[in-house]
Amino acid sequence: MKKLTDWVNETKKKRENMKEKNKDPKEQNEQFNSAHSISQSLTDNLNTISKDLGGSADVIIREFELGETDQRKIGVMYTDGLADSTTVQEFVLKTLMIDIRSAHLENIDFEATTLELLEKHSLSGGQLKKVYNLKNVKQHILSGDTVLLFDGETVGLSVATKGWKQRGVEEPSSQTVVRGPKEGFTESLRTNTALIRRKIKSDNLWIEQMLIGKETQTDVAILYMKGIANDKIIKEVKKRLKKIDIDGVLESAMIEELIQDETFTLFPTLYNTERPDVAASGLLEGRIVIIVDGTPFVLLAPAVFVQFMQSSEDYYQRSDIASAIRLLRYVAFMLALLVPSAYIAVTTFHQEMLPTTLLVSLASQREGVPFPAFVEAILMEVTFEILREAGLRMPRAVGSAISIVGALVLGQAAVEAGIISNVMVIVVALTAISSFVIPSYNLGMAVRLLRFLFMLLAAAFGMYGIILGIIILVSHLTSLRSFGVPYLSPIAPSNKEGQRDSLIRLPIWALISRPRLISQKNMIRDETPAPEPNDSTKEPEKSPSGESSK
Amino acid sequence: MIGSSKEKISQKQLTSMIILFTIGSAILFIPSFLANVAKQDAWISAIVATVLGLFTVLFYSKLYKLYPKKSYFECATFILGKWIGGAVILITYIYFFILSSLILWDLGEFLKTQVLVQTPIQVILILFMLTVIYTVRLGIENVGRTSEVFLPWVLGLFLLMCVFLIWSLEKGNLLPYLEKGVMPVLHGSYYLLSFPYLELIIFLMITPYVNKETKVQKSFLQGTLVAGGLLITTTFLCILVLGADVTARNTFPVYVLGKMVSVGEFLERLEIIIAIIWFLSIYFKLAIVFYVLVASLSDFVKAKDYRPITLPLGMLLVVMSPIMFTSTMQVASFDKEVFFPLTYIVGFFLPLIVYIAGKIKHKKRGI
Amino acid sequence: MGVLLVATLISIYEIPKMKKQNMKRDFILFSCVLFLASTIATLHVNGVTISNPISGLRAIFSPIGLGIENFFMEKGQ
Repeated sequence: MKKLTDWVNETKKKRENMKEKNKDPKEQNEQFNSAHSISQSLTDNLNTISKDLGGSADVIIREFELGETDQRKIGVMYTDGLADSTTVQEFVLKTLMIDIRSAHLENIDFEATTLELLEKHSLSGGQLKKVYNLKNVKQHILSGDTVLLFDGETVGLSVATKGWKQRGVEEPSSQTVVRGPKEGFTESLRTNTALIRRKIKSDNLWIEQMLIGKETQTDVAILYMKGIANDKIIKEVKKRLKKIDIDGVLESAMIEELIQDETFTLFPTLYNTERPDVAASGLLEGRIVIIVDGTPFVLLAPAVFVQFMQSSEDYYQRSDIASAIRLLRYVAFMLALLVPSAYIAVTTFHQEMLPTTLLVSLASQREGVPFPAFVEAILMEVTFEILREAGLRMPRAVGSAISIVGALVLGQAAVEAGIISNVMVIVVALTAISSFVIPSYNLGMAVRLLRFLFMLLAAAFGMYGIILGIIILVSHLTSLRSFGVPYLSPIAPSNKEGQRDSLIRLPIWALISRPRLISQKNMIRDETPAPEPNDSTKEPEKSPSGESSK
Repeated sequence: MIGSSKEKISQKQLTSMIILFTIGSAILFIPSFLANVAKQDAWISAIVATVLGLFTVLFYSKLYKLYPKKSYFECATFILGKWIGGAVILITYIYFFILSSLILWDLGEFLKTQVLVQTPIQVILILFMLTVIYTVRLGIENVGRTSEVFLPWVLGLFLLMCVFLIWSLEKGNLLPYLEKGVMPVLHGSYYLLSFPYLELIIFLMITPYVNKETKVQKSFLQGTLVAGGLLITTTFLCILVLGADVTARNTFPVYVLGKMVSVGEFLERLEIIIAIIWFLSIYFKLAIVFYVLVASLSDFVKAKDYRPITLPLGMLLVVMSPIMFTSTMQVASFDKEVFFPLTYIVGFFLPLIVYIAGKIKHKKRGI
Repeated sequence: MGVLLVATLISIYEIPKMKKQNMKRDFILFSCVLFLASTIATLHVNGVTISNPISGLRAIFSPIGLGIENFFMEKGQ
């Protein structure tokens, strides 16, 4: 196949050259006078590039001639696998070798160089860019573009031919909903920006792009709604992103860790999501979305605590139901955090708090257990965490084995063997289920770790320790900031407007303004009046009967 | 202004701090104090004291309005000069120090006798002090925000408590009214006015941080009203449920109140609720006093930051508290003989002097 | 011993920070308070009775306090 096109190419080129031979090579305006500037000799250029890339097998460098007599040489370079082979064939090679023949070149400025000629008339690829030095040439090649170099020219042309095998838009695996859009972000930056653009068609949605990572040269896009997002925060985000000087960015988590406000905290101060609708709603609230090429997880900043307890489905269900579920999540959060420590505190320090009957049954269960409650709890909680981690990392096919081991061997058998009490199993199960209710995986992790700290406090000081722990936890949370926005934002410092959509969610018509501390301009987002069922809906009552009689 | 000037407290944060400060430690002790002198009329003295307390905070907010950007100490030196002002500051500072060790002692006493009988008291105190130090190091703004988070919890739990107690009220306990005339009632009010209300003078040290000057008076009144309501209700409930005698005899009558709760067969012994309410409020009380202690001390020597001295001063408090206060009896007599009069001097007479002098100064300048 | 250990720990934690920011006054204040606290603590731990600072106050105030108490009591009876 290639040989054929080569041959076709050559013959074609010979014809081409006839037309081009009267043209003088124009003086070049060299924009970059770096050491890597493109030299006049094509062969030199190609050799340098080939050498710089270590003759990598996937980089394809071809040299051929345009025209018959003048033998104007041209070099085509692209990376196999990154560049879409059909595009390269159809729009670059075929153009250069075959289509040029049939081009109508009557009104062509004969002073133009090959480059300009091709740029203006021949290449039908969508996106053309001039490249002025070898560094950029390499960069374009390695990001999937096809670069053309010409003999006697110090400017190259890059044709956008990016196109590689990638995952399609699928249902997100981490944040699932029953009702709501089922599409999720993919690993491709362009697809992701497109998914958001499809939801927000406003011209206020601005996308800025930059390269991060000395070696990986990863594309990172910053998306925000101009006029809604806080300019200070946008500036701050850009400043922090520009500061990053790292060799590689493989996942948005790395960016997250490099730009977050506080490193030593268990709580995530940037929100990540796989769902375009969540990202879009974040944009509409004035947040800034950071998309990193190569990962479906996009970042939202600034993030506040309540955000991590919300699911996008809250807005797709009725407000009263959504509110109840949100409250349930907070209850689950507390349970996941405190149940084991409360169990330890009550059984070791405050037995008198329990009703007598419960106390008796508890005591009789714990009679055969050789360990103090703290050891018992730690044992079971650690076991559970191990099971959970194992379930995550092991191949899916063996997953069911884990549940058998977990449920039967460690649960029932441990109780029957008298190592732990039945109540402890209930406690562990309750915490486990509760911790899965927390919608954000990051926050769930924080809770998992904090639970052990609370257990320690409870073992040492009972309820006193737990309350002290809560005080420290809350003051830590209030001291956190995400890009200057207090982490517990609508709760403390309190903001009545914000509280309409934090612990509970009021009906959408009541969510009049955007979060105050996040977006600072254009605060009103919703001016729909509250539905009044009495005016217009009453009249159609008659019409259905009228229609049915017809 | 003491501490770093960047911090800002909102009006709501000030209100919630005032509420928590006022009920802190008082809620547990006051019913007993009042019932001791006023017997079944304790709730009347609570009402009288709260009304007087409202006037006091009104006076405080007037004092604040003289120089809204200055803390009380700065006001004192500015108005009264270096020496007299310095004396005022010294007395007030000593008072704050005693107050904080007293709070610490209250806490230790309660935990030692009621909750953690076996744990050594030093450990309890150190742990508590570390918590306070941690939060104070994060700044007063942070204390304010934390109080905003906890206030609904405290109020909610209190309400819950009241609801549970409805079943065990006994009206007969209130009778007869004013058995021994007005004097015992006023005696109780004398205690209550000094115990939480006059202590509110400390808020004049942090009012400069409030972001809206005009709202401070509202905060003071609102906070005192809510806290006063809580204290009155608590006293009322104690008398109604326990009777005047039991209330007077117990050091922590409210805690006993919690033990009395019995709804149906399953909800019993909810003293943990009381413990949580009291614990949270006393924590805020100590945090605020401690913040003022460290911030004003570091401000006095014109240090850059108050944070480095939090640990040493906390250590000093933990050491001094058990040395200064040794037993319940001693503290009770100390309260009556020394602390209450001292509170009246620090919380009323000294500010009055400052206020009058400030007014005169204002007038002079006006002419 | 424990007291000294705590004092050194506090110093290790705080002093480098203060040096970094060149806070002389802070340092003086810090060392004064720490010295005071650890001396009292050491003495207290070793069983040396420390005169209660309150007793001084008590001498001044108890006439007033008791006077007020008596005033209320007498009127009440």
